[in-house]
Amino acid sequence: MSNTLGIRRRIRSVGNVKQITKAMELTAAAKMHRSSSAVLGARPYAIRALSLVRSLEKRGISNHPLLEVRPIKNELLIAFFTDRGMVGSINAQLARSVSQYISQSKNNLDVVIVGKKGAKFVNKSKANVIATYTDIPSKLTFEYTRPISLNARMSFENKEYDLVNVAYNHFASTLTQKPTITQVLPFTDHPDSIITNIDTSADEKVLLEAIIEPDIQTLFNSVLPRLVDQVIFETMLEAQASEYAASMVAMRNATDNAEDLLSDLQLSYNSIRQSSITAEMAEISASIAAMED
Amino acid sequence: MPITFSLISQDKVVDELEADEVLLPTANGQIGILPNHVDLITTIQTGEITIKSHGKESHYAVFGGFAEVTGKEVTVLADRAEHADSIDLAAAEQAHRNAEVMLKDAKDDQELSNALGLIERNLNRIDIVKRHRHTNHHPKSPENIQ
Repeated sequence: MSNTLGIRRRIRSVGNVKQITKAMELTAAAKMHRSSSAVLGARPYAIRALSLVRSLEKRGISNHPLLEVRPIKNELLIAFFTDRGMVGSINAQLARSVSQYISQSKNNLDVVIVGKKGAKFVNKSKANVIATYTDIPSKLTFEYTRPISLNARMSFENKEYDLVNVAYNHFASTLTQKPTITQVLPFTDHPDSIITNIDTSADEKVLLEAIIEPDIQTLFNSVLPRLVDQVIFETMLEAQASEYAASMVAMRNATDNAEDLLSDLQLSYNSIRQSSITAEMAEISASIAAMED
Repeated sequence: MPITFSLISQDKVVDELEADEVLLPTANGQIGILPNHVDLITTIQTGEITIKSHGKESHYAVFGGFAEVTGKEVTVLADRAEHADSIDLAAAEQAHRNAEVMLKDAKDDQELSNALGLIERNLNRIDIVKRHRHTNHHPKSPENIQ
């Protein structure tokens, strides 16, 4: 009977694990919904600001330090990892594509890491990490990403870097998150550029005749940096939605595995219990048969 | 023929409504927008946006940004924006006091400009609430107190 006791203990502990992973799955699902609606919430600003930039460009203004295309010598990569684990393989996937990118780059490359898990990975690679941001709030705010984008903008404008890319897990769907590296600065239309993701087709009015106050250059200078900040904010929101989606799926798998394990354990518990009953029955009937003789 | 007014901040669409008149705090001072206004693109300063619709007024606190005006539409892209009714006066006053402490303790230009920004923003919020106190019986807790 000691055997059945052991199995009963395991059934109980696997059952507890299942409850925990189930709860974690539900929390991650709620967080994922919140951050994917935050991504959608940040969209209108990006769309309107980009179409404003485009209409100003159509009126002949196109010089701004953030648009300057230079021969690339120094580049910066901002990689958005997560703070917490139990998010499936998204950090490992992103780390793989970031290391690949680093090893293929022929330029002087500096890296900014966001998320504790990223810091862990980068210690292993030879990347030159210039800054690390951790303690990401679960409800991401513009205040969190602003220093990241501000530093990127300033160092690009000061020509410390000629190219700024972001690496993050693109939220394709709940089940798929794709590690993606795209260009942020120079902030130009480019196949790999982040602005090609923003669809402004719904907002195509071009105000060619509009009066501009105080003047076109001042306006342009004030829109463009804000748009860059917005795009980086949106990227991180998306990275966060990916984190929660991956966490939800990982916890769902864990719950399913616990379920399978439980049913296996239950089966072997039942068969051991049954065989001990059968053995007892056999003994009893044997002894009855012996007494009858 | 009313104007479609939309107020968009960096994290959400704050409000979208029909208006008869829109008052905007632009770089060149307060301007009033009526239907069929000439097309205009302008920067917005920290201040107050007033919307007049069917004889009623609603007020928003805004902190920097731009406005795009056409004959039928006014779109404001604000760094921050909130409806006057959602400003918590006590919280704004507390944030203002905290910012003044920050200003005194500021060690570099970055901290100084942060503190000044917070003071400007919260003075604007306090100002707007006090000016429209009679319409502000139900303060909701604001999401972005700084």
